[in-house]
Amino acid sequence: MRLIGKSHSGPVGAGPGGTATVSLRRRLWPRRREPGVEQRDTRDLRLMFLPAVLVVLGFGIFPLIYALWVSFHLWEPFIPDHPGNGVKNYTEVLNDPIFRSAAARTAIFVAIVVPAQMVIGLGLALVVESRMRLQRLFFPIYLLPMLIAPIVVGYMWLQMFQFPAGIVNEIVSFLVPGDARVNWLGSAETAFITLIIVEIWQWTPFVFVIMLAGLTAVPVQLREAAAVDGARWWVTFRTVILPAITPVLTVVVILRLLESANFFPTVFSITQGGPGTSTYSMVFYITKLAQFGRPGVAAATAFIFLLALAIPIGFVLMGILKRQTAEKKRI
Amino acid sequence: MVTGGGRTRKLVRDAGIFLVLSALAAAVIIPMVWIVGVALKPPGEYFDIPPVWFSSDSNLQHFRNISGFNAGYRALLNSFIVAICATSASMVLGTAAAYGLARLRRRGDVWSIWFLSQRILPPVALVIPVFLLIREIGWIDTYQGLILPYIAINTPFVVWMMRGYFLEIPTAIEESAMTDGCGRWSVLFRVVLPLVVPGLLATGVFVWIYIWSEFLIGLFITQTSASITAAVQLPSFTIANDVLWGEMSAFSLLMATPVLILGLFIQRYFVRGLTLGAVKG
Repeated sequence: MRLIGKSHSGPVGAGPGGTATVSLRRRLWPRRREPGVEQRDTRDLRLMFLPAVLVVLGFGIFPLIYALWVSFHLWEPFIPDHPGNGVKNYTEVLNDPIFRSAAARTAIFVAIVVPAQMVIGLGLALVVESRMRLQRLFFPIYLLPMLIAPIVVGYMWLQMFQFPAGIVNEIVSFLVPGDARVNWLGSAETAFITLIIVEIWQWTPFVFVIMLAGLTAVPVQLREAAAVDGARWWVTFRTVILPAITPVLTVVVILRLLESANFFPTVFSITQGGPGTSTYSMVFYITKLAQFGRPGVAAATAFIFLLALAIPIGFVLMGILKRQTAEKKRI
Repeated sequence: MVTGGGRTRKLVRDAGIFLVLSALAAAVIIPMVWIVGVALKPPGEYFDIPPVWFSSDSNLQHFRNISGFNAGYRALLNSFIVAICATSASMVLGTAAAYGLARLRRRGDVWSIWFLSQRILPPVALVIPVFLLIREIGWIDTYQGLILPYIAINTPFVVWMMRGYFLEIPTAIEESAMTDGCGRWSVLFRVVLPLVVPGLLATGVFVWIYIWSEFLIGLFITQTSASITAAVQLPSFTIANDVLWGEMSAFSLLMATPVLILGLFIQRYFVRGLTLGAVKG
């Protein structure tokens, strides 16, 4: 509020007799000094970021508050007005077996996908980092998957997983003797595996690219000192490299956790949540509710999802930021 | 130090590494090559056993069929227009805000973190109220109905990215310009912005790619060819249990090509863009 008030303070001698009589506005927002160069500068800087703040408040935060309101109201297709509904939307969702299975699927998905991406991505980065020729050859190729829209990737892999003739099945039947072709989308477990494979395929490059940059930034002297001491590779990695890349590692893990928990286009394109409702993800479940004309329940679910994501990750982020500012002060 | 045996062992190990890396590269490329083949081949050969990668009857029929389908090529145009408008708007808003925050002496950091924290919110929590509100204003199935939420989502990203670039510029240059009588605005336009042109372009490309690829919001807001975006049109190539694989692949190619080309241009800025500037790269 103070911020907006200040930005209103006009230039010197804005109106006739501006300084002679004390206007109501001036009494509400007393001006300590005539606005000098510095004040005007601060005002300009605030004017610069105010529009963005307003836009994010208006189109980002306000809808969120509105959603909170919606989540406590009855909102059904053929009822014209929206009477209050207490916490019934929330209790309905929490008791819905599909919600529980979607939540469990999402949690398992994240728990498998993120570690797998981290291990493969970091491993690749470690291998390629000191081999410039290989790096120049493979880096542009490994970059490709994350550039393509997830929905395109989903339909691309839907072709790969066709039964009996998809490319994945061709490879399987080539590697495994006998009739080993799998109807990937036919059972809950294999359908879930396809989603995991696609997510790893598309986003491991993300981990790879960033970890490669993180590794490149580790001072060479550090590693050489360890090598002179005759330390084994694993010891060097654990005692020198890993501590040096921990900040980067944390950022990557957080970003991957957030984005993989929101997985949706692959479910939409590859499994359609099926067979049955077995591969519903959280976002897919919420989308279905909204599309079936139940925004109240959908909003309630979205808030449960938001809290489950934002609270733990918010704490981690705050911890990082605090540590960073502490370090800055020390320097 | 290196004995003959050690050298052989190193050679074997390097060969092994090369093989593994090549296999992974193949895993990356195979689906894309397959798509190109399907986009060109006649329907009868989609799922031959053994697979035919490139048919001898390859032709451009599927690309022609796209135009008679749903919004056809209009969907690509819709995506392009919406992405350009929303990108420009969030670049203007976000860049100005980033500069203000980077140079403000007090509380600049607090507001920056507030912008960053928007990133934690799952898009699905936003899409439901945004859909209801936009339906209330009657902007469902319009460009502006898409552009507004895209601006709201991408402005924080631009703020955070550009702030990183501005913080790297030594303030001495600006201070000398200001003692010469320049105000903040002219400093921003004449002195600072020319210094961050690469950062501006890279950030803009990132935002553009995000909007071009976005699916969830498009799914809620668009309905007809008036606004349907490319990402939302793609699923409509599946009709009940029948999938028009050729048309779908052809359309996928059209969607992927611009992004792949842009991606090559901003390779250098990738790390920074992907981590919101947390890792400088």
